[in-house]
Amino acid sequence: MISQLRTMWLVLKHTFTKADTVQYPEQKPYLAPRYRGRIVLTRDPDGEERCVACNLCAVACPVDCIALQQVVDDDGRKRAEFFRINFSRCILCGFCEEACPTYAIQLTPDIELAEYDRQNLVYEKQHLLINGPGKYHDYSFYQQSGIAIKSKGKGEAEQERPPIDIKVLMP
Amino acid sequence: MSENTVTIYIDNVPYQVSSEDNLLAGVLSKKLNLPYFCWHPSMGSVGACRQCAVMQFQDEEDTRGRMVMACTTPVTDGMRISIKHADASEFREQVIAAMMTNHPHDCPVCAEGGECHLQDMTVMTGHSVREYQGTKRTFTNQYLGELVGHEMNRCITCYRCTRFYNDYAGGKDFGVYGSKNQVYFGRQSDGALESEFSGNLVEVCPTGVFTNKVFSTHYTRKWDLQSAPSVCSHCSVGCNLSIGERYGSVRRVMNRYNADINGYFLCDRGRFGIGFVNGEQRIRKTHGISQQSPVSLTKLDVAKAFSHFRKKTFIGIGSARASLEANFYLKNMVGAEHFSPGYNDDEMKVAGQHAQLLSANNPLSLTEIENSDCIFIIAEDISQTAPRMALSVRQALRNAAKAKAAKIGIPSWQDSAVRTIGGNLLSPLFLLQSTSSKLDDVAEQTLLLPPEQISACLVALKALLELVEVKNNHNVEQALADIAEQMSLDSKERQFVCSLYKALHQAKKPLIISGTDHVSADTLQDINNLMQALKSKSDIKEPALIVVPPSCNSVGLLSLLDEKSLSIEQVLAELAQQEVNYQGVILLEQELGKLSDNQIKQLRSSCQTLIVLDHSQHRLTSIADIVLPVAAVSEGDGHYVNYQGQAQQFFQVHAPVLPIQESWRWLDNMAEIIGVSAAELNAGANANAKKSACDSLRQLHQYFTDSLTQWPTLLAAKQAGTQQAATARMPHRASGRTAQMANISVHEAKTTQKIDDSLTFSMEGQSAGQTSDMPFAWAPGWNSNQSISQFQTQINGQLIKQKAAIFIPVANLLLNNPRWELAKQSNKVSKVNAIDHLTLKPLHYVQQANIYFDEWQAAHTAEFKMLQPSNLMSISASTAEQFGIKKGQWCKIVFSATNDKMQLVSQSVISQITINKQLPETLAFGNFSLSELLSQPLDMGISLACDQEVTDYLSHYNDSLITAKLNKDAVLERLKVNDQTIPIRLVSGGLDDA
Repeated sequence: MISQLRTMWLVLKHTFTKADTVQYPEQKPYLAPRYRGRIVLTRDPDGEERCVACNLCAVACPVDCIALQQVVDDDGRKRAEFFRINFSRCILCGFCEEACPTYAIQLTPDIELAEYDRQNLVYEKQHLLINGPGKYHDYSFYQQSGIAIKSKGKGEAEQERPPIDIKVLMP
Repeated sequence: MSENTVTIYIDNVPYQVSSEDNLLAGVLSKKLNLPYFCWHPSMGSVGACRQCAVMQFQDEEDTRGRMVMACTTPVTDGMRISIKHADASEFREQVIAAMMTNHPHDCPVCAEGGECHLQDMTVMTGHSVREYQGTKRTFTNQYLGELVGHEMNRCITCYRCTRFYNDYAGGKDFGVYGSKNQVYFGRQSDGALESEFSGNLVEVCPTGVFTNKVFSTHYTRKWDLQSAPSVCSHCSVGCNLSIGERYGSVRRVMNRYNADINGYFLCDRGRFGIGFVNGEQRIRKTHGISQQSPVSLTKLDVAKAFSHFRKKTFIGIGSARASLEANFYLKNMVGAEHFSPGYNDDEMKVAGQHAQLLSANNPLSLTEIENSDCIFIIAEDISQTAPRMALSVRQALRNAAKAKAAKIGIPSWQDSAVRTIGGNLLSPLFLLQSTSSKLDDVAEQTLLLPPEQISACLVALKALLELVEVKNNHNVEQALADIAEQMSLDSKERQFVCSLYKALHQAKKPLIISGTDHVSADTLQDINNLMQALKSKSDIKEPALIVVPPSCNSVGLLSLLDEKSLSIEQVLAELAQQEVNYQGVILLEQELGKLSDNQIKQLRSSCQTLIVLDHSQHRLTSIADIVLPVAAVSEGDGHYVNYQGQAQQFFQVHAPVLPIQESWRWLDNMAEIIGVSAAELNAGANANAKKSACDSLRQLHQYFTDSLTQWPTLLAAKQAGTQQAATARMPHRASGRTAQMANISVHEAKTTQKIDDSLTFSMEGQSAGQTSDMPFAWAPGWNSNQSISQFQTQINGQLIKQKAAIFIPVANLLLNNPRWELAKQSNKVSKVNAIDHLTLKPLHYVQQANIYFDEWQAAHTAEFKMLQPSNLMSISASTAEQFGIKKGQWCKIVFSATNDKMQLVSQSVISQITINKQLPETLAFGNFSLSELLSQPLDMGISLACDQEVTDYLSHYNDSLITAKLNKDAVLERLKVNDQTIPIRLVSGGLDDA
């Protein structure tokens, strides 16, 4: 008896509350800037690709949906010859972002990954690359690393001393 | 091991370890984790890195303990140590932390990442946060050639590179420069590393200072490589390799540990020579077979193309680089009397002698070579033709120093102490050859002689052995003087023979090494006689004998030869005579490199149908009627037989794009149609049984065992092996499975299947260490190749799962044919000739062996072509004086000789000259080849080349280097394109298997 009355009371109460239904897609939900959605590849402050094709994202990926091949370009930078993500397999776990040592891979709040044809969910590098540094504005991997590239010689990176002259006699 | 084991307590747990090795080796052999850098299982301890610190306790009551370096501490009975002790762990972590202060932030772009010993050890010590905030020291890199890359910033100064390169492998152009924390490892100036073992720096270096340059240009991580256990196809030593593949192309070769053969090291030909598999000269399509379906070539197409050859007779020419199975199949298909190994008459005689020597002497394994204490090398530059063996010879020479150290109680693993005590003390090595070699620097005596004089020395030594019934040295010299009189040996030769005799007399484990490549059958017969003389001497330990043939399966081919086998001259004669109505010739992976262009023309014109099975283009593929593309070593299964007669299986690394398939599959496709079918040949019970197709190597072996009588003696033992669970070709971390082919179709293809395969084309299956044939080495916490210690019974011991080696008997059937027997008098006759020539002073030119270009397959590698040296010839001092030539001058050299038809043939070469004081007047050697038309001995005229000639030659030479560079770039471009279209193979079988 009491439970029936309670039920009626609740129904009556909900009649006057605001509806939870959102008019998607006309009305978009708020997603935080660090929401784990679709992946992008970012560029460093110089505008060059951050990705050095180190394969760490691929090996971290639990569904093995990232495949890439490294090449060494004439300027000494390493880049991905191809970088392919099969979003029909991707579970948006963000492990790749976590594994990425150069902040190249970043997850964006874009979660609208739906296609009529599954083949269209295969993204290549040109689909993933964006024109900015994403969440990390100042980081440039080659300024931290010890390898030489065209615009940065040996000993010119951050926290590096100039190269040692091995022929010098001073101790 | 058993009698030398003692009990030690590690963290209060008793373990049985060998007391002959150091504590670190003992700990690692118990599969415990203890980090180290400078120690190497085959190079011993120096205690340079201070990484393997453990606490040692006096007894059970001792709680304080003292810290010791495990690698420099001998194992004693009942010793108590602790690896987990807090002080020791912290010490180890601090050592890593200190190394990390200067280590660059390179891991993502470093080719070593993922198989880096430094990464492994850092994780093992628990050092996870860099507290150092200061600046890092940097170095500039050097150009070290096309094979090895240099990135000096990453160095942790463990000294392993120089200990390997200089101390172990005898390199001269590498060293340590600088002081304190500015120590630099490299060459004096930029330039290609000269040692033929430079590639091992990649594996020896615990981090990424030395990287595989070829692999780095088309790089992938170790965890993504699909690997299979393989065997090197570039020389007869048969080193075990692990070949890695990714996205359908072969990426690199790593060492695969085999305690008896290669141990931890490979030569550069084995490591980098795999380039031919990806080369531009590969044959990828059939020629001469019309294909019905546009999609693929079917077995029916092949059957149709061959249908008009039904029951026709073919001549089959096998080869020493084709697998044992393919050669055996071909021989049985065409019949023994129509089978040729592709050798010419001289080579057949050599093969006959080789078989005789092999059946009478058991060749030592490389590990056994390292125990020899006196080595005599005859007329073979093994540092170029079997480089890994030369490395073992180098180690054997250290036995004298080790024995000296042992006398004062220093164990052999105390590397720097042993080297200090030993100084320049080396066990005796005698070199008797026609060219200088990389072993000259460690030889006690080197004698350079023209080929005939080498025989004379051997005969003299044999005569000496038969004569001397002596204990004292005076008699030896007396006896030798008489012999030398007869043989007309000069004083140098006499002295050489005399000291060789004395060394053999003293040796406990003497060893004689020769080869078949540049040696005449007469010399091999002299060696045989010498061996018999040595065996009959009671006061000399019977020496072991190794004969090094040129190719990976030379001995396998030798085991198939019998009295009916044809030489290439006989093949040409038979074709010309047309007594038997031959339909044509089948060439099995045989380029017939020694044939002159005329002989090739003759072969082409006299045979109706020329069928060539090969993986790369050569002179014959362009003129053949039918060309069938054959799998290279990484693309197929089979067996190679090494110089000892040990049969080793190589496994398919990846399935090639059809119609490329193993040559035995092609032969299987035609077997029913062509020639004498095997079943009929035996006329046995199975004569009417229709042969079913063989879809796997095991089925092929079954078919051989069932229907062919000779096979069971070859690989019978292999059949008995029980089937195990399949092993994964990929590490369990292999990535990209659902994306690598997604550009073609988002629906993932099934992994490739294979009938009767003991390895899978995926990460599924038991882990690599569970089998004797490990596709790659990996253990938890040990990502680099150093993980091998986790799979050995003890350090430097056999693998835990090691199967017994299979040796193939080599019957000496070839000499049943009188044609291949040597005339008994030949020795005497040649000697008289030699003496005659001596008075006329004509010259013998010998081409130096070269590690990169001597082997046909490896020579296709673009990086090797870029290492082609310019012409260089060594002449004797007196010849130089005669022509007024100085060292380093560019000269025009005219060689001339009169041929059989009494015509004068001449050839001129532009070459730089060096003067070798050791050379006799009658000998010269260089790095260029002379036309086959010039018969030795020759006349030689040298004059200074004019500027124009030198410029022309050099521009031609530079063009060839540029072509090689372009070739390399083209290969890389094609591989990059291929990465995007990975071939899908559902079943890795033959044709029709999709």
